[in-house]
Amino acid sequence: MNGIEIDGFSVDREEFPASPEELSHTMRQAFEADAAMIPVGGATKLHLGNPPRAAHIALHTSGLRGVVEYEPDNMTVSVLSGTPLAELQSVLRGSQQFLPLDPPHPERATLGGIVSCNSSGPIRFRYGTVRDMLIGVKIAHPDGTRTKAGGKLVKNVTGYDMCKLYTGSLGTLGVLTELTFKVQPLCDALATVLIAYPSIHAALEAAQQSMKSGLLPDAMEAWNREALQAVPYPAANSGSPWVLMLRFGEVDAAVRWQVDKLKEMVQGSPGEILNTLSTEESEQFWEKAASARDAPFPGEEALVKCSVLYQSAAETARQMQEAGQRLGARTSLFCHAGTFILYARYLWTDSEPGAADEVRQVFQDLRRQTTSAGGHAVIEKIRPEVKNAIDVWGYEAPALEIMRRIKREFDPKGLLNPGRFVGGI
Amino acid sequence: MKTEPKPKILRELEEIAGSNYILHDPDELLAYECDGLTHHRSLPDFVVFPETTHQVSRLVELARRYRMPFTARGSGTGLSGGATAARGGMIIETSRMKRILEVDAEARAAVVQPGVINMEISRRVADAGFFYAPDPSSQIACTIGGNIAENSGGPHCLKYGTTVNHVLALSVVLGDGEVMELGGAAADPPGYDLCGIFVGSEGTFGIATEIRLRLVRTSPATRTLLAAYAHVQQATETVSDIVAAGIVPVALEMMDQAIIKAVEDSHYRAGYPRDAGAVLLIELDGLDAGLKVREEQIRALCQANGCAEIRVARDPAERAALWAGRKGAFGACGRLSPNMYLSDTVVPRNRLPEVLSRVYEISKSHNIRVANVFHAGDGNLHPILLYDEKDPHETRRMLAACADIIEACLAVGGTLSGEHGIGLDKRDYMDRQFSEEDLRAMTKVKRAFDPEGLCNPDKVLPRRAGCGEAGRWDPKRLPEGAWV
Ligand SMILES: Cc1cc2nc3c(=O)[nH]c(=O)nc-3n(C[C@H](O)[C@H](O)[C@H](O)COP(=O)(O)OP(=O)(O)OC[C@H]3O[C@@H](n4cnc5c(N)ncnc54)[C@H](O)[C@@H]3O)c2cc1C
Repeated sequence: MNGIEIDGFSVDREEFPASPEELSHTMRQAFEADAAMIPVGGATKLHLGNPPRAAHIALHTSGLRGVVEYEPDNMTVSVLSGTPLAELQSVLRGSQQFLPLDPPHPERATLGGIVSCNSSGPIRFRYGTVRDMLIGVKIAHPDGTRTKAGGKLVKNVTGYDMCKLYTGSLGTLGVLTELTFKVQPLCDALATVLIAYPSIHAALEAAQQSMKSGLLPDAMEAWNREALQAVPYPAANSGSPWVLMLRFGEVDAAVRWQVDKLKEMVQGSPGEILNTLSTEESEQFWEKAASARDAPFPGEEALVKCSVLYQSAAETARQMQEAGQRLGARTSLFCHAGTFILYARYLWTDSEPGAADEVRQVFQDLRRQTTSAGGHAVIEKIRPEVKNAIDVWGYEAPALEIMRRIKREFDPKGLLNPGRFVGGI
Repeated sequence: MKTEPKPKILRELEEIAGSNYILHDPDELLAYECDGLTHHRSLPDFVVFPETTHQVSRLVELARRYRMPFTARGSGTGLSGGATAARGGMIIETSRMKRILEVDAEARAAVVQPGVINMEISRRVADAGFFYAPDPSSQIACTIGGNIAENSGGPHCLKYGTTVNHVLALSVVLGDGEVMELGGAAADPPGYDLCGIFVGSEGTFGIATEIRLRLVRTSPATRTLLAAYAHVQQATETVSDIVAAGIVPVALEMMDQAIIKAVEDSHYRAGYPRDAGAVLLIELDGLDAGLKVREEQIRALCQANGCAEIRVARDPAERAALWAGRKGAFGACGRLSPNMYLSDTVVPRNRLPEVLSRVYEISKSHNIRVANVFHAGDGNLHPILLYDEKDPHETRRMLAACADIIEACLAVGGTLSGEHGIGLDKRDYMDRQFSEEDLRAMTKVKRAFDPEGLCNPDKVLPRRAGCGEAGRWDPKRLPEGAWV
């Protein structure tokens, strides 16, 4: 992969180390030359973060590829960081296991990138996120020093839990070289039920209701029609603007029981069942659904992630839609109906995006609304001119001071992904 | 003990917490000389019982002015010396901070103060259909603050994860008295996961004063099975087989003959088969339709390994009885010898059978009696070494056996601690598991949280990796003007 560009910056040099030792050597040289380093995995998330202050060398992890050790009877796997998620999944599948992460683009997204960006998808509702399954790391720090933490143990309190620190750190503390995860058994059967609702409020309420009635879904997603268009799905036509999708995974009998129970629950509610998907259909559907918010688009686009609490989720969805109107963009809304994370994808199809300043104003207003509801808004994707005008993270809490100190301890010269993370880290 | 500046510092402490809430008399301090690990002792100079975050913050500020080390303490049930004031100074005890501040059913979360007893939370939210999953065996006594610090585990953590998987946000007081929020109520807060790394930092980063916890919905159905075996090896092989079959029970606990006898002879009597060489306690939860299938699979695996008897709890009372024996096992061992050391290591689960055999060999070779009750499904061993602390030879043999067990675990890729922490107890083993560089990385995080190094010093990191080892806090050796 050549010609890495990040927010309009082209790097001077691209390195493709073939081993952790080589990576460490390259980093030491860069460190001595004060060269800014940009770690790159599958390049599916380079749009995340503020524009770098400098970008001299791209450190590709594509040479760090493969499973190091897989122990199905311990349910753990160690894998090199440049391995694409799909490649790991196909190895695990051989033993009826999987890593329960479903971020966009599993074919390209590498595990190093997924951990660094703390990427997740719909099944986080049942299985949690990277922090719940990453149990060991090896990492190369900016001066080339290599360290490890954790191990192959599913339970471990020996020393500080460095895995947590590196998860979601956007490559600002080091370049991950090897990761150990605890994995899960594949479910015998899957099913997905798609239900149309007249409003997000009704969809969210139904999701709550399903949990109260003893259902244990893997995922609960409430999407608007626009969002669903990115997934070719076999559903009946319905005029309702929102669709709630529940996925169940268990032994066959338990899956069937849940589907029946759900159908019972929906009767006499404003919901209308559109379709019920079988195991294979579910697999295909969710694979496509996972990448929907990040599907390729030729024109101008923006992606915003708002996290809130249940009480304000419906209102936040409305505000995100309103922002789309102000932007003159088509708005796809993807809401994790169990964790209250909402993604809005704005596409400018038949209109020109506004000036950077106008766009910034819209996002600032949205962020103010989200923050006052106790949540936060991260702009995951937007053109560089807008990024220059707004901090994409919007994080200003007192804990930032501790984060800055940590960054200084690990990267005193500020060479790794400089400026891309919160507070200019 | 009565040193010059003490009266002044005492007056200031009283001004913050109220005179009824400070201990400084050596006799009274004696109770705070150690935690559950009694062979590390060190007397604090003060024990203070604050009631609010603000008071904690002012106490820490004061400690900083006097360059006085401070250590948070919950119930003192810790088993690695974590709550022991290694260099003297002040213990900040949280027993007055025991309110459950908020329960939010829609968000499946509760906000609590650090002194809340673990069990209280499940009790409080049960009617709403929830429970708090991490359930250390000490749950009727230990505090959430202590659980946070140790990243405590329990039988039900096999399926649900340990404390760290259940902490969403923390308000903490750091070494300079500043109060800040780590993590957040809404998902995926931006920035480094400081909440995640604070959990398990053994009170060395700061003091947690408000904790937002994740609640888990009570499962519609539960099945608890007791499987009895003639030999330990058959039980451990069953554990490995269950894991290899991709079944994740909620709990998978093992007790050996010494434990079974101790329990049955005590008031924790659970009706375990007395003559069994080992029993497994296996719990499944989920949907009834799924449990039937899983139960059959597990029965088959138990039988394939020569299980002598399988019992299933028929109702909540029977289930509680089966668990009472397990939860009381440690207490029941009190009858077996004057003292016991509860070891805590973890090995990959496929290595469990061989490592447990090694544990028996080691205890035999050092002539130390051992009893085993542990979280088998996690590979988390808890050999209980029985000894008499008045017998120096036996104590030495116990410590030697303990060291050998640790080595045996490390040799198969195991780890020093699965839930009790490093504290004072195992810090000198840290470089057996980690390189100098690995430990330096941890030291960097400690420094970022606690640049002055006054927060629970001498814990976790080995003596060398820390920033030099000072002696006991001495109020007389304070720099000029430190307390103006
Ligand atoms: C019989 C028995 C059974 C046990 N079973 C288990 C078990 O199954 N699983 C398990 O994991 N442990 C177990 N333990 C160990 C112990 O109960 C746990 O470590 C528990 O979390 C300690 O809680 P505590 O309130 O007693 O903390 P303490 O012992 O008082 O303190 C422990 C550590 O927490 C720190 N601390 C306390 N409060 C705070 C705070 N507010 N902020 C920051 N740091 C703080 C202290 O400084 C110290 O380092 C057992 C202990 C006993 C005696």
